[in-house]
Amino acid sequence: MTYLLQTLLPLIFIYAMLSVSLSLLLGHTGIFSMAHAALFGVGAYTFGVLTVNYGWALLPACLVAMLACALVSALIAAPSLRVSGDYFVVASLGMQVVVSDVISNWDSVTGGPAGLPGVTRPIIFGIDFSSDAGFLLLVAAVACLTVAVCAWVVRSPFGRTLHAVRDDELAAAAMGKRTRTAKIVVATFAGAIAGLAGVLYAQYLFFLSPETFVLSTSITIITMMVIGGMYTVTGAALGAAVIIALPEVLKELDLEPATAAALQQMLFGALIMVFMFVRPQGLFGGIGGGVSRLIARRRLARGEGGGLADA
Amino acid sequence: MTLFWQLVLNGLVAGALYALVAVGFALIFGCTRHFHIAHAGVLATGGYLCFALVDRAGLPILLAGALAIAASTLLGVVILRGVYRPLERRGGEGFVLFLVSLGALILIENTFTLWLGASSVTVDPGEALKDPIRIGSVSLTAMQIGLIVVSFAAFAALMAILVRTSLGKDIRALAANPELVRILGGRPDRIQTAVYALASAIVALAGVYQVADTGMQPGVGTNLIIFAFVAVILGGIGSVGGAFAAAMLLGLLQNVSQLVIPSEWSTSVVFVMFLALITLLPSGLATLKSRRAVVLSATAPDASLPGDALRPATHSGEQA
Repeated sequence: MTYLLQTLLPLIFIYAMLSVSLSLLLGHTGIFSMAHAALFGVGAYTFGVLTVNYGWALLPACLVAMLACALVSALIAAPSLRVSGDYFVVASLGMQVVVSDVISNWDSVTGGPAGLPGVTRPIIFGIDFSSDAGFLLLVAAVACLTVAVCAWVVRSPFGRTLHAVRDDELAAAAMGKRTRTAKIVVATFAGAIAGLAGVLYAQYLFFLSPETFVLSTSITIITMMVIGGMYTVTGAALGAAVIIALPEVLKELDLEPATAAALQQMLFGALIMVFMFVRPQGLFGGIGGGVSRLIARRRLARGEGGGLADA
Repeated sequence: MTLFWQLVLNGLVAGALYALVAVGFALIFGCTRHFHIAHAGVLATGGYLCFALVDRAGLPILLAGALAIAASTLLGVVILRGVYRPLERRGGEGFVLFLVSLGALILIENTFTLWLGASSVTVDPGEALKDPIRIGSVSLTAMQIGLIVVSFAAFAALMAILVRTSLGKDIRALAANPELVRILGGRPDRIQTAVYALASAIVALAGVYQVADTGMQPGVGTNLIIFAFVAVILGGIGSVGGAFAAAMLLGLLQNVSQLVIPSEWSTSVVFVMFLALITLLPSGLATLKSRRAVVLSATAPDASLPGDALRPATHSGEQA
């Protein structure tokens, strides 16, 4: 039970933030990003380096970390979304590789492959969050607040603009919506959330290792979002719980670590495929709303235009 | 100066490997608009199966390589017909198809990890192929020279098929206007199958080379496909020739940059330049060339600002 509370629950909350932030991009706007682990890493390392190496106070470091992530996310989005979502996928993959390289090669700042130890947990208004129970409370509060803000964003007029961009960008633009600006703004916002998750992760573990922020973590976050449900905020958040809990179940099978890791990845791959076939709205996504509209519109498009090339 | 030429040669070797992945992806993407990231899984299958056939079944390396390529070709076609087709029939395309493709890639790669282990596996092609051959002051192995030759030959053969044969005409027609192909009684499904078979066979060559030279391990295919994506975008989406040229250029850039930048940063250099380039030249290097260079795309270069395959078909290129 203590293991569950101290180890798993904070991790679930942190990954829920990542999954929700990614769902803002893919589920709500239709932008596919492969760089979420990179943004997570930029947040964690910016916070870690500023507090450990330069002795910054935790709050300004946290804000700067979020800002840095927003900036990196905008750096991927601004040039590529000017053209198309295909470019964004490739640019985000590229950014994922660059960030992984920077984290593991820039030894003098990030500690390189040896990692970055010595991150501390905060004391806010005299309340000490450094105990595991206290920290769990902090993470839960921040994550719930983030999810609530995201749910509000999705329902706001801006959220409706995002849905319009996803469902029919040309029509949205014709209605006078600034679609490109909306896409860049949501990418920046999602980046800041991923950064906040990174800050919490650094405090959770007290230690950062470059291996956490690689492409396969991006894929894990994508899996959480797909399985939970990318079209609803709560669905995406609950997906994190399922995917974090899954390896714990596999542990019961008593496999060798290498076998278990490969098996778990295979399961992720298969789950993504099965869900996209059978239940694209995810485990917890309600039927109706965005999805059925999306699919109905796609069927329509296919009937009219053949649905393949558009050049 | 010697170092410079050695790096140029190393760049050609790297570029030749990227090109084998990129031309197939460019062909598939140009013709079907499938963002087929599982292409990396087909590459991994070529490499791992070759290893398994040599190491576990004791086959001679050439036979193992040929069988591995045949099996990978089949796998590419199976992914198209068994996964993408049913998905498209259910209305899944764009990023839904990309997600499924990503799932397939993870599934394929980790199946091999489970079976053959996570550490690097190699097949020994024999001393003769791995000895460095000196050309003046620089050197390459026979393997590497072979890779460059095979890469150019595969590209030339693919272009010959696209330009000279009736299959090539069908493929170009499908890329240009699938609806018209259907109306005129063509068989888009057969053409697509041929495209997947061609591309998968070519990418399996890269897998077999990889396992015989530096070794196959999890992530190798993914790493290569990222370079292929970059090459396809820089070469201009839909252009096989552009993808080949851009892949070579990426290999050269990655290696020659080591003259001034430590080698562990060379991959980052490529991607930073990529981000800078798409800012300046959004429709790729193909816009710098003549219209005739664009083989798969029937539209004029200025109109070939790529549409968005990760979105439904009605969204043609956003008019910026």
